[in-house]
Amino acid sequence: MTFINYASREINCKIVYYGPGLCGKTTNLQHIYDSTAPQAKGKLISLATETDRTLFFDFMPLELGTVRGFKTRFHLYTVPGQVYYDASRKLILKGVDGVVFVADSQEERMDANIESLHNLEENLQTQGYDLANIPYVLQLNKRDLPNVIPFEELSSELLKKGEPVFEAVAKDGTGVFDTLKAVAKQVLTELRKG
Amino acid sequence: MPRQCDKFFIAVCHLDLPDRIASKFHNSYTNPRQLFLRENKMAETPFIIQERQFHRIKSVLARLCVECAARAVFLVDRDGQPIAFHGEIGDMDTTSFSSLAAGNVAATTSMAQLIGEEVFPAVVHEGERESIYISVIGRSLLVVVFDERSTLGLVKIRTKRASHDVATIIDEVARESEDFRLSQNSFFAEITDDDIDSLFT
Repeated sequence: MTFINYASREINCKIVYYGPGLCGKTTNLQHIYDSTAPQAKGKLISLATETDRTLFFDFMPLELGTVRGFKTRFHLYTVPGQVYYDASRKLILKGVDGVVFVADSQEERMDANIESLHNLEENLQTQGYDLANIPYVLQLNKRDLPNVIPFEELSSELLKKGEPVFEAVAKDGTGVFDTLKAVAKQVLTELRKG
Repeated sequence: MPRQCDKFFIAVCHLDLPDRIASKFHNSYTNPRQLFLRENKMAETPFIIQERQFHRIKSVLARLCVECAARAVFLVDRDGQPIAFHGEIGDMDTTSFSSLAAGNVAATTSMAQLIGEEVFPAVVHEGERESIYISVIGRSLLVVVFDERSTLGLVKIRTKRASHDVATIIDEVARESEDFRLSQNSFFAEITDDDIDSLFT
């Protein structure tokens, strides 16, 4: 839910990175954090297990600039991807303005992608959202690995509504900012449309 | 203090509360049916806080900070957005603090429901020197950070009083957000593709 403060001239939006376990959601945020100037970002908070698996969420605030005198700030969240953390995923989706689905392009992770995508739709519905009506971008991550499903095949399996699709290698940053820009633009365009 | 439970509210929504009962709830943060309906509607409506409302909230927080002898007081949206704060903030990362407070309450609310409680209306974290008291007020959280200059009992009592003022303002913000957005639609409509593109150059 977009938060607009006329007193401090700020527009705040929430973007959630979703996807199966170990698909690269946290890696996306880590790259965004490492590549962003200090004055445009807050801390990267990671609530993780001892083995660096996201336990609850990762969070970082990102300031993109001003639009018509309003500072635009995006609050980026990731959810834990492992199946048994569903209760936590539901909570993190509350108030979401835009979603990035990060898919793991490896062949053996196809079922996990589909299950996670289905889970996203269900959890959005629980919160009163419809994936068809919210800003949404698909990222196909890990494109550098040898056993990846071809782009056309993977896209056709996972595309939901003709959303923008980006190939990515999050560990070196390929496609990370393109993905973020695409979802941020959609969120702001939605706001403009009212 | 408003309470929240999906099953409870679903049940209430299917009742026709007589006026003599409905009239006892003076704002939607104590009216369970209105709170449930608002929570669901607010999945779509931007939350727009106007200057006068923001200053009123700041005023309530400032007064609470003094009355509690607190180090700092925050008002945070339950989705994790900071709304306002007052006190000895120093170099505290208020954005992260707000996000974590919201995550904290989201998790403990789910835990409460697993054990048959509707919600934990208050959460306390006591440290060696600094403590945190979080109270749930409908869509928002009142977070008080205090040290040895205050006591938990004092914070609880003063926060309870301030909660009513906060609830009234937030309820007004929620009610007026949609109308205000429509009246400012020309402002949002003026945002061009170039304005948005310029953010990414």
